[in-house]
Amino acid sequence: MIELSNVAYAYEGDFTALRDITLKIGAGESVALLGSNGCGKSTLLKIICGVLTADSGHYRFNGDEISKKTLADASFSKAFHRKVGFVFQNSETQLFCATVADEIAFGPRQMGLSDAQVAERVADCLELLGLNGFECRAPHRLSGGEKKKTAIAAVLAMNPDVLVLDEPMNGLDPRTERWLAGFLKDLTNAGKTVITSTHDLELVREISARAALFDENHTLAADGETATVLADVELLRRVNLVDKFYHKHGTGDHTHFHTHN
Amino acid sequence: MPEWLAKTEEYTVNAGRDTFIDKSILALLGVIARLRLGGAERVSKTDAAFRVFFTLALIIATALAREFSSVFVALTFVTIQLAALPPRALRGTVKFAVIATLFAFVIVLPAAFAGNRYSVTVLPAKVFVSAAAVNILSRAYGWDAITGALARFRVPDIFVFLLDITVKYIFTLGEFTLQSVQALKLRCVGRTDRRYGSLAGVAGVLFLRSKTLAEETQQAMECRGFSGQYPRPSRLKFRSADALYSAANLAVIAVIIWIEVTVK
Repeated sequence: MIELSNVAYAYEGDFTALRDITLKIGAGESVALLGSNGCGKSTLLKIICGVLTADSGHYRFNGDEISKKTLADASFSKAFHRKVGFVFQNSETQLFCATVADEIAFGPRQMGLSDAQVAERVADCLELLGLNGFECRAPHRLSGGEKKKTAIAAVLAMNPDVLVLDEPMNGLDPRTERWLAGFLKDLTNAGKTVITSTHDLELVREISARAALFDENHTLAADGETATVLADVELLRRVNLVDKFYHKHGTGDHTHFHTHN
Repeated sequence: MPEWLAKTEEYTVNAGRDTFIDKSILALLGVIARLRLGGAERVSKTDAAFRVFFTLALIIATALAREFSSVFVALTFVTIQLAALPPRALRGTVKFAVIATLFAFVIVLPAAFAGNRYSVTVLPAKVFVSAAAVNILSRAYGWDAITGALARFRVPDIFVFLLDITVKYIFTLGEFTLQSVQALKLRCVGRTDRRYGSLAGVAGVLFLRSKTLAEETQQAMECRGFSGQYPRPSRLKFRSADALYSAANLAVIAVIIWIEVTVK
């Protein structure tokens, strides 16, 4: 479904964000991009959803080349954007309608669905994301967690094949985090491809079967089963994702500053 | 999970072009890139304070000049500086200066029909000098260096602070707007008349965001005991590059003054 080969990207041609990234993601997979701040996770997600295009290398989606040239074709670009939904790290940036209901209805209306179909999707998404009762609220009046849910609902209403989430757990309280982890798992079980970037090593096991680990040189340091990648503590230290206090207790990982005596 | 969400959807695109959105994204990317690159193009080894002072002096001298030969001297001096720029900075500076010059030329063109050939030749040349000089300055240093130079000239703290915070907000809100417009583009997967209404929504969200940021900054400043003073301590070092640059500028300004005083 998603094939990235030797992809590289630098902001303004000077600030390297990605070097030589090769990654294949199949339909229905759940993949987490792991790495320290500034390693290029968000840039890769933006390339995957077509907000940015690679400086070099190739990106193919369902066999179609995704490049500046192909995205310049309005029909191709819109069909592609419909298939790949993107939830920004800061949900506030993607909410621009007057009410939560309008926000969710924006995509389906763009797709030319009938009013009844739009209403059905809005009602289903409100129900699915636990936003019932919020439909007439202005998005900027919502809490951080509710904004995140609204942003996800607005993207899901277009029924994308791939859902890309940039740091979805950022700014959420533990309860909403747990809820979102469960929800992403449900989406994967329903056949959606879910790609997330995260630092949360606890939740990543739950939301993704596969993990791709970036190092600080903006290259891919590891790609494999989440449990296997997370078990290599030395590698996690080398890429600066954990410190020397990180360790395991049974099946759980945690970090603290005291010793076990 | 609703039934429609579990199905792969076949969707026929009824495409309309999003030229305005694409152009907005490009424009925002340009502004953010310029601010992010601030100083990275570093085309000068001189201290920012000298650059700021002499750029201002050259612009004032050129603006006050009445003789074309004075303006020609300034034009020659700026052209020599342009020739020393790296290719990317040169392209950007010339493009900016030429657009400003053409704009000035169009405005003063009616004067030519009234027989005032002086305005049609001299005014656009003055605009070129000013636009190129300012652009060379902005490409040579980051904004922090330029505002730091202003602080050295005893420009009031509050003015320097406002300038600093304005540049910071242009960058922060520019990034925010860019993401909003990109999000709009990602969700514009068909054709509706509501697209431009959504752009108004983006503007509204930006306004609310800037209000929140301003309130939070004010609260943070109060918490940190802001008393209106904004010191930017820095030591002025006079190096050989500064001496050379100052001498060249002083010579050009002296020649302009000499021409204005002697040529009648």
